[in-house]
Amino acid sequence: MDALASIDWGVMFRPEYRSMLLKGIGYTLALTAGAIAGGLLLGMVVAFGRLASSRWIRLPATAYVELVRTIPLLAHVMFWYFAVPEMLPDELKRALYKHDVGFYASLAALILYSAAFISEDIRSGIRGIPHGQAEAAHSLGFGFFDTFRLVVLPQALRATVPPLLGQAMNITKNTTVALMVGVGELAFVTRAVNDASFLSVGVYAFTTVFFLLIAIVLTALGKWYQHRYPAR
Amino acid sequence: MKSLIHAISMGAAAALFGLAGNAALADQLDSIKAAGALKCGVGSQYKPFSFVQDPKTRKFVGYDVDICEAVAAKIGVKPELVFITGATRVTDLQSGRTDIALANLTHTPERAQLVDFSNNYFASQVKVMVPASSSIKSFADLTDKRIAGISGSNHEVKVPKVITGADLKVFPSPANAYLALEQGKVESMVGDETTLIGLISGQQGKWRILDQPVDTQQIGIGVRKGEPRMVAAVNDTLADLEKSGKAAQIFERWFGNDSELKMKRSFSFAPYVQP
Amino acid sequence: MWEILETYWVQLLIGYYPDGPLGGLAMTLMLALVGLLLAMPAGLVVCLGLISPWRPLSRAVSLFVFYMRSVPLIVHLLWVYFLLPLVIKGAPLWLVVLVVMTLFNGAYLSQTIRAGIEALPKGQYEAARSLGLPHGRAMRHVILPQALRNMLPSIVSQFVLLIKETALGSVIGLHEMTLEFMGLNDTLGDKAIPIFTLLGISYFVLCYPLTLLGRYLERRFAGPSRSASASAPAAQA
Repeated sequence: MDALASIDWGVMFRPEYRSMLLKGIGYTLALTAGAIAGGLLLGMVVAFGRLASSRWIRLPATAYVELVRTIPLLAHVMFWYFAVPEMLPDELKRALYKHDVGFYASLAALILYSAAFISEDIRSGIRGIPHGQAEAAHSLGFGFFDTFRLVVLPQALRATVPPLLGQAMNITKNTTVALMVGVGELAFVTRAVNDASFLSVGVYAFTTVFFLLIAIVLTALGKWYQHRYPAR
Repeated sequence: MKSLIHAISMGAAAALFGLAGNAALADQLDSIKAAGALKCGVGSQYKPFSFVQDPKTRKFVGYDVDICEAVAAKIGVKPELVFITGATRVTDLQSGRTDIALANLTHTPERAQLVDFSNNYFASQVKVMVPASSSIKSFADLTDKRIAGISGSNHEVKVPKVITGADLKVFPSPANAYLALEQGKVESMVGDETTLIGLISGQQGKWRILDQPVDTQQIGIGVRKGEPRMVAAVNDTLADLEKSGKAAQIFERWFGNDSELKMKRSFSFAPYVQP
Repeated sequence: MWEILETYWVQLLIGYYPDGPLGGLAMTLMLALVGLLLAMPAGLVVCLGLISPWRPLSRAVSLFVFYMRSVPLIVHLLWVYFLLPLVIKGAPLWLVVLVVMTLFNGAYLSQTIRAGIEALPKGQYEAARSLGLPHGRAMRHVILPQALRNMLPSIVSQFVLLIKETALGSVIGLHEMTLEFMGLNDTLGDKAIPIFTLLGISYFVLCYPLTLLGRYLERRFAGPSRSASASAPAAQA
């Protein structure tokens, strides 16, 4: 009852919570940026792996994607946070524990998880290019890598950008699971300020608006891209 | 604009309460009797307050469980265990998810504004624990070191005041914080002496508890605000237990000579004393 | 690793039931199943709102879907965890998670259902109308039955997503499978590697056969044109 009686929309900006809030946003952005960069890189590698002709490359890549996608992200984070450090030799383990294990574990889990989905999007993008393109390039004398680099990939990427923007949005939302291992990102701060102040409405509203704004920006970006480079 | 938003949110709240308000006319004790069950908020892995002793039976036992059963018996209903965490103890009580809150809820003036407390049913000193081999001997040594605390506990407020310069890391439960200490993710841990002793039972040699207390706490059972008959029922139960000697027995079983902790009972079930 | 399973399998399967709250795999599965059963009608309602010819309704429903999709699931959980007990006194944790999953998956399923409806040849709707059926009955007797059959593979893959979503119930303290394993880790201390490997295996064994079923159904029912739907709304935590 009292929880609704006192609504302070600006509670997150109060001096006692402000620094925690700024750090929280910082963590969220750091995790997002790291996961997008790492996910794109690894995603591309895995996508090519899945299109490789050699079975020894294709099968592990496929196994990776299938395995990672059927396990919830939270379980991945738990594994990286609790299990993986214990697998390291003692000195490495102790050195790791001196730092923010939660952040690195969450980042690793996020990169591996996102890469699995991104690789699927990239793979569909590449497969969507008619085979005739590659054939034409070959017959014009392009080698394998040049065909890829100059003919197939640019067209594939153009088709892949909209789903990749969707993945960027997913990654941003997924960073919230890091709160379960103590990373002080925005969801963690949200809960902490709520527990301390009991002013739930203002606290949750702030975080909600934050994510809505990000969604609006990414959607607008997507629409602009569709306008500028329409799918042919 | 701000007042318009405020007005709309008040209106929405009033609408929601129109729905819920009518149910609140019967008091809590009556609705518990009608439901036939008393929901006790306890921790899910909180030795020796509420924990599973034998994985085969998966039955919860402990100090809090015994108290919960006593209060339920007094009211004449079944006891029902509901898991709470340090952070949710108070809100679960307010929302009705639990009827009484145990799990070592320290009686503080700030909390007394949100919930009502019964008489004390436990007392404890808050202390700091470090590995036996650690060089930390006093609070001053804790500057710039990481100290594990439990989310939602009183430590979050007290530690920065008493142990200045320490980097407080909060964990959702005592077992969680202890794991972090064992693994080296933090250099020290703060907790009630009884909780600490309970956690390290069997491994006392590896750990050292600093003598200097962070705080001395009186612990009562939390009850939702504005339910005097409920508080009275709990207090009557506590008084009965103390008079019949069962209170001391329960303590001996979980903390005293019948347990591994071998602590001495330094308190009795009595009303809260203003510090 | 398997000794842990041997000792604790009952707790991991059903939590502390009957002496305590239900948890573990049973909780995960029940939540996912009931969540799916509730999300489907919810998704239908939302979809009908989206394609409604009345602009204010379709606009409002569109905003609802945008909101549900843009805000992280954990934030949805925090909101409902706070709001639900105000309406339903003493609302248990599983109900909070169920409400969130119904709304969340309803919003996503509405897109799937709409895609299923729009994939039907336009002639179906026109034929139904020209036979004298009003909009509502055309939907009910002609469009929807065909659309829902096309959507069966998507529904199966949505079920897999629901199973994965239940893991986030641990954020508000619900004792589903992930939280049970975490509790076990706290109790056993140094067994993190086997415990969390087991956790991964459990979800994999649960979800992968369903994923394969979804793919089989897709080949059988929906035909070759549905390659785009594979990763469309799917990639969530």
